Amino acid sequence: MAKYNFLFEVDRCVYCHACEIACMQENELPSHPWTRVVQAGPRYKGKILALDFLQQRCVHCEDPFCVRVCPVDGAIERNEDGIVLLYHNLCILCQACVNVCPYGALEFNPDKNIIGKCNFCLDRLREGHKPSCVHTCMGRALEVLGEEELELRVAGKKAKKAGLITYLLNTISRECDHH
Amino acid sequence: MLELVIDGQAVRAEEGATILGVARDAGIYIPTLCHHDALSPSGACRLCIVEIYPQGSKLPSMTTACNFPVKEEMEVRTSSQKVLEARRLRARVLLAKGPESRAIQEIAAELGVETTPFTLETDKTCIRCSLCVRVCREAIGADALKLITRSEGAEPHVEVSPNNCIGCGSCSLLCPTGFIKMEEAGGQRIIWDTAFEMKRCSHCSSYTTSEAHWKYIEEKTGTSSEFGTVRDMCPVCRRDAVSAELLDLPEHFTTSLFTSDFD
Repeated sequence: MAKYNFLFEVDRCVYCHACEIACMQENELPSHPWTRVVQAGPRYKGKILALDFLQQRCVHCEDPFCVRVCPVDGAIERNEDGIVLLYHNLCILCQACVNVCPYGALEFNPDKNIIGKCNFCLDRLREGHKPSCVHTCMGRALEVLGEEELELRVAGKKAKKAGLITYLLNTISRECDHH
Repeated sequence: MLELVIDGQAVRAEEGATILGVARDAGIYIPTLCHHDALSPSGACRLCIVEIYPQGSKLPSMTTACNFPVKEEMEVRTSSQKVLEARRLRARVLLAKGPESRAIQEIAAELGVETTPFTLETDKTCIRCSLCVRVCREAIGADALKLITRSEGAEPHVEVSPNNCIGCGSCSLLCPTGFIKMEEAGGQRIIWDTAFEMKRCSHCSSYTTSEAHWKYIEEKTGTSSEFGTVRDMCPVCRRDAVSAELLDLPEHFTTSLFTSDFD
C-alpha cells in the first residue's frame, strides 16, 4: 500500500505553469523544471471542440527502467514508499536514464549540469508538507492522498493510474459546442 | 570504529574510511575537483590537501584527504594557514589551465584567488584529474580512455581507443575544464575526434544519443520488447505519447497536438 499517492485532476488544471515555477524554486533550478504541463488540443472529440491540460513528470514506476540501466549502484533507487530517487552526488551524467525512460521524465539540465527528475519533494513530505507543486497549484488539480482517500476520490469516476500517479480524467470537461 | 580529531573536533570513523568522507560526515568542508562519490579517489587535483599529525606525532605532513585512510588518534587540520596556502597555489595553477571552468573559478574564489601568475603554453586544458578515465572504466565499463604518463610526453594527456568508446558523453560532461569537447551536428555526435551515428526520434526526427550508447542501454536493461511504440521516440515525444494514451487520443495526435510554451 503506497503511503503517498498523487492525484492529478485533468478538469482542474488551468495551465498556469505555477507547478513548473514552484518546482524550479524548490529545487533551485534556473531552467528545466522537473515537471511540465502541456496543452492537448484544441481538438475535435467527435463534433465537440475539446481542450485539456496535462501534467507530465516522473510517475515513479514499480520496476523503473532508469534503476535497471543506471551504471552506478545506488545512484537511482526506489525507496520504501515507492518514490524513485536520483542522488546527484552519485550521478555520472551518462544519460542512460534519460534515454531509457518510457515516460520521458528525466532530462539533462545544462545550467546546473545535473539530470533532473521529480523526487516528489521528499524532504517536504517527510516534514509533513505538501510537495512544492501541489502546494502551489492554482486550480487545486494536484493532491497527495492516502490509499483510502484516493479510492474515495476516484470511486465511480474515470481514472487511469501510472506508477504513483492517478489521473482523474474528464468529468465536466472543457468542451464547447462548436456550432 | 576508531577515533580521531579533525579541526579540534573529536570524530568517530569506520576503519578504511577516507579523511574526506569522515570530514564531510562531520560537516567539515574540504574542496574537491577530481573527487566523485561514485568513483575511486585519485588525489590528482590536490585541492583536498590537509595537514595530518599521526598518532602522538608533532611532525605534520601534508596529504590529499580523498584517498588517505583515517588512522587511530590521528589529528587532521583542514584549514590551517599552511593548508590554505597550498590550496591557493594549486588553485592558481588550475586557474591557468581552465580559466573558463566554472568549477575551478568557484573553488578559486572560495580561496580568495582571482588571478593567476601562470600562463599556459598550449591550448590543451587537461589537468590530468582522470575523472574521464575513471568514469569510463569504473562506471560505464567501456574502458576506452587511458591516462598517458608525463614521461610519454606529448599532449593530450588522455589516449582514446575509439573501438571501445560508445559516445555516451559522460567524460565530456564530467570534465571540469571543458577539455573534452562534444559536438552534435548533422546526425552525428563528435567526441574525441570520433564521429558516432545518432539515434533519431521516429516522430519529430530530433537526435537523442549515439546508436552505440543506445545499444549499450538496451543490452543493459534487456527491455527492447517492453518498450512498445515509444522505443524509437525522443524523451519529449515519449512524454506526449503517454499523455495521448491517458486522454485516449489516437496515436497520430502524439506529436502534432501537444504544446508546452514554457522551456
